[in-house]
Amino acid sequence: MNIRLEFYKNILIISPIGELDHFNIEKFRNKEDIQIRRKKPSNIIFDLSRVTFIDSPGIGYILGKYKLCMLSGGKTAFVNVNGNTRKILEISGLLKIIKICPTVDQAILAIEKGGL
Amino acid sequence: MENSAYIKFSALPENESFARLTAAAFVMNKNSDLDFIDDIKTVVSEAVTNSIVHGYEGGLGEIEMKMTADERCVYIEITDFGKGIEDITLARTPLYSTKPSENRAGIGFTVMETFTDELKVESEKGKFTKVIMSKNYR
Repeated sequence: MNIRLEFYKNILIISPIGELDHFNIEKFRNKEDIQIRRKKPSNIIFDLSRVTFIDSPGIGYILGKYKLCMLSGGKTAFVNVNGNTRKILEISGLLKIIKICPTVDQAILAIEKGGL
Repeated sequence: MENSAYIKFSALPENESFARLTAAAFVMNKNSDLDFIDDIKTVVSEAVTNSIVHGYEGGLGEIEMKMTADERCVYIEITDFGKGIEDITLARTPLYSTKPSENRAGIGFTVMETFTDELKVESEKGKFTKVIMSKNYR
């Protein structure tokens, strides 16, 4: 399990690779928040294409990052949401507030054009 | 033919994946449908995480998992001997969390209910919490 962080302009792209469960999230929780607070991106894109497992702690993780981003009035988007991940996202209600874009590039475009 | 298995493991976060992969391996021979196996992995992970985070609050303890599968469905029982749940109805309420400051989504039981056909929770304060789930094959 790894979580890749990329900063593009004022957008943070978070790409978790592997299983987004309680055990893995605890390992990463603070490390990223320090980076996020330092670089202060106003928008977040979650690239979920390489998430092989997610349960409610994973939703809590996304929610936490979403809140950080909302505080600065930013936008959030999901990219590449596969079957099982989509089911959990639907139950959580997150899909009502965060849109899914087909690719990272399209998500960046949507954020820049204010289309989210 | 009915099949059954029982494991007991330490309440450590690293055992969340051990438990869900064990459950997946157990049901695989009865039902190889990938969505079914994914759902089983998810609900086991939710129940075991609850035991670790809430039952033992990160402290030492043991978790039991009993699994039974027949031709129709699979039953999974997950028990911890931690602090127990005071108000089960409240705990099962969507978005409710006893630890909201830790960015918990509060949807663990909702996920378990949605992904199974039956979910029963038994608990006694200071003694145990047992989650019993069954899921029919599709």
